[in-house]
Amino acid sequence: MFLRKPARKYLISLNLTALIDVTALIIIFLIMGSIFGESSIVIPNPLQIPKSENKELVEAAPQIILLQKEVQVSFVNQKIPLANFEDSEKLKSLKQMVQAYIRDMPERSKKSGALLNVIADKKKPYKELFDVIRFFREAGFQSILFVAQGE
Amino acid sequence: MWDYEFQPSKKNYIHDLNIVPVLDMLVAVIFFLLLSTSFIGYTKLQVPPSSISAMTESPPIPPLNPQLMIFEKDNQYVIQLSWKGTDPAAQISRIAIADFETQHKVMVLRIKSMMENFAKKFPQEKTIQIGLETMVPFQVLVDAMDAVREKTPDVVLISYEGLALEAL
Repeated sequence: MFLRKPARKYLISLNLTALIDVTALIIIFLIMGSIFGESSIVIPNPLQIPKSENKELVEAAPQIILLQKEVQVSFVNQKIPLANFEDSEKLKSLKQMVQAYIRDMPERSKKSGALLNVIADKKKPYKELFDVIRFFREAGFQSILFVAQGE
Repeated sequence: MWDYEFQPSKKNYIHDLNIVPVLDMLVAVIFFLLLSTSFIGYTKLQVPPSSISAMTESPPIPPLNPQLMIFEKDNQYVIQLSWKGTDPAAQISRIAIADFETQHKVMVLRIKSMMENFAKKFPQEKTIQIGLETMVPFQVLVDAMDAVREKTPDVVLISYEGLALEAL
């Protein structure tokens, strides 16, 4: 009894290999599942954009947001009342700013025409939407891209 | 030199990699990704660039000019697909106005079936004009664009002003 060797003391160590494996998998999943190219699309809280079956991803382009009573033209830092779009005469200065912006856009961005992302609530009446689109078409944007939520 | 010669040999230690900061960093990255990621995929529906083409002679066959128009009438959406050409005609369909979730799928299916009938008659036609009445919501426009895209990828939006004149 007295001659028995004392049991060796082992330090209990946590096997972290499995944990690191799982963590690496989660990181890869998150990176692959993320849509980093669309970080420029910020939908304001009260807006509910329409749903679409379309699978095409949004493109990086200047954007306008149709809010309840006004239109946010972020690329020229302007907020214009929606009612003004009924008469484009009231928007001469905005038109000049938009035209100057399109003129200064890099040629690479204009390769497939000047694109404009339009973000609006799904309940927005067609009249308001069309008036705004018509203005920006006349100002020089060639392609209008409606932003919707994929299903 | 002497020091080196008579220095006792160093014990061979197995150097463990200190992974604690690595784990700290990974946890921070995961939280960052979770908080900053949007898992909603945004899509786009494109209205193609406008263009003008000049014709020197009047075409021998009048153009089809198919038009998909959606009106709001008696708590229903009236969908009208009409075309001109040598044999002008129209298809009309009605959908009760409901909540967006229910109506969205019905609307897409209904317009798709109308477009399939049209495409059987005119498989070469790739352009369509879409117009909505003034108060018809944006979601209906997106539904219409979703439904016509397969058969007629070129979509032209027409003004609500001209539409009122052609209303039923």
